[in-house]
Amino acid sequence: MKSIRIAAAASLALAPAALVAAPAHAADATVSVLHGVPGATVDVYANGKALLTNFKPGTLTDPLMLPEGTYDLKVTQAGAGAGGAAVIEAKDVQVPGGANVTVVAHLSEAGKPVLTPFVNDTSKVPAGKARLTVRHTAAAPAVDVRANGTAALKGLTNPNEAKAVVGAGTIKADVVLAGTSDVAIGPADLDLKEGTNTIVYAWGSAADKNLKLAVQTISGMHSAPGGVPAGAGGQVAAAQQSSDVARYSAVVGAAAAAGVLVLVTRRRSARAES
Amino acid sequence: MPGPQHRTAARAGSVTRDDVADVHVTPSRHRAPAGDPPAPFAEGREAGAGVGTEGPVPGRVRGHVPAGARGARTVAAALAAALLAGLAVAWLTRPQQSARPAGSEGIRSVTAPSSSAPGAPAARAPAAGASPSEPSSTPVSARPATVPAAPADGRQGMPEQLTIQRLGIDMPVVPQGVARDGEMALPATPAQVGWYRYGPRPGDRAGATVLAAHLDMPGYGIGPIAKVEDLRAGDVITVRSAATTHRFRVTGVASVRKTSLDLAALFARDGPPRLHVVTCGGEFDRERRRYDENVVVTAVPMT
Repeated sequence: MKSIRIAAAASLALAPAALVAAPAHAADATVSVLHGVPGATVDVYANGKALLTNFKPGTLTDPLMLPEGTYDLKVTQAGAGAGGAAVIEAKDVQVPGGANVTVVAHLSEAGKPVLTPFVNDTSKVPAGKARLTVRHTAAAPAVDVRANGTAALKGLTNPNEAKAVVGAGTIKADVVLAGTSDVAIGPADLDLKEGTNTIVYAWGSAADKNLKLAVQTISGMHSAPGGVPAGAGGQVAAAQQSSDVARYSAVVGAAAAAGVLVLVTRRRSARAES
Repeated sequence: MPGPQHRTAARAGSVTRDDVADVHVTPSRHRAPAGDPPAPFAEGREAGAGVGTEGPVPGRVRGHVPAGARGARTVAAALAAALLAGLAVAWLTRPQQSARPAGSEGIRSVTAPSSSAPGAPAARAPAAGASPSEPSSTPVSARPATVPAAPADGRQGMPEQLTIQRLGIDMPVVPQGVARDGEMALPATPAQVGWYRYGPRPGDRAGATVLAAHLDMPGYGIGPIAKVEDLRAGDVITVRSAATTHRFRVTGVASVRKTSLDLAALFARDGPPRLHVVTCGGEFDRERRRYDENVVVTAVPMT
């Protein structure tokens, strides 16, 4: 049952530059771990030290801040100890500083336990939008993901992901075998909160009929709206304008009256003098 | 306010002292009928007379001025009087600068502290767990990653009514999102206030609750929100939701050009809890049907 798969380096190399260059905690990465291997309660070791104990299938850790670098990860049966036999092992997993990563222990398409690190997209989404990421981590063939009955993400295979920026709100999602309407998982109501990345994992095994969805939500990707267009009539401006007109009229009127008055009086006095 | 009025008129007169001095040594001034000129004119003239008496040109001889020169002086006198009267009226009718209390600069500032920390990891669950900074020594906690149930309290805490008693504002609040063009959506009628539903609710522990309403609208006229420009620091704004009434104290009113408005600060979801009441102001572009400024009222929760 020992299977070593180092998809790590390849996946992480695809990390967008923006993520790698994130300024906050430049030297740390945010790492979550998802257990997607049915049936096995495990311990997880990073560089020989216990990272997680009694880790149950279908659970997700809180995000950990890990210094950037390379890690040797080992998953053992719960209680087997640091020297215990590896259920899954991945050496030299690169964790770039600033990245937000989810390491998933899951089954390959053929049903073998593997570790796959995914880089989570934490770039901003426009106001009112949410990001939906779907990851195929199940022992199952290619699938389509449907949102409200329409295929939204097509032909997804293990261990890959597809993502989209969609309007925030609740969708009814299900997973069907690619190109068919044979529902493999779901449907489930997914609340895609504005400004978040909702990451949905299909996990388990089609052969064992235990396919399930796991959900991870990362928030903080919201943007402000582009403005507040709070006036379209112009009546306030017009009222302001007419009061301006009245003011200027008063100024000009007073000036004219004063000028005329002086002219008249002077002319009168000049007449009187001559 | 006779005091400042005279001072201003005198100052204005001193700008054109040479002309004025010429005018005031002429005999006509002394023969002008007293008492009947309009008030602004009289004030301007009196102030001008004050300047004239200081003027060092007493030597002009009356009655020996050539006709042409006299005509020119008459025109100069008339112009000076017109200028003084005009200035006096302009000063009397000057637009009132409403006192803008400090405290709303954040909306203008691009470096508002409230809009900081966008890159902070936000996925951290509130569930008790080991400190993430020492992962290698202490195991961290994990939670079931099942599909979360739809929140049953979707309407909980939504603002429903905006009241500003001092201004007689009492408007229903409706949740609003984002319009097709990416700007905040607003209720079509100026009679209602929109609440930016993706942002904080009144009573939330952090961030700015944004309420915005149309200043005016074709076919409606001027909306009640137009009066918020008259708010002063210390005024009370009440926002009612189904279960709770939240009271806020105004800390500032700012008119900000839309091009320099810090939208991230206006819609901030972090920082201290506050209320932003927004409408439009400034000049109106008839073709684009837009005002060029936003009026932003900032208020903080009253404890």
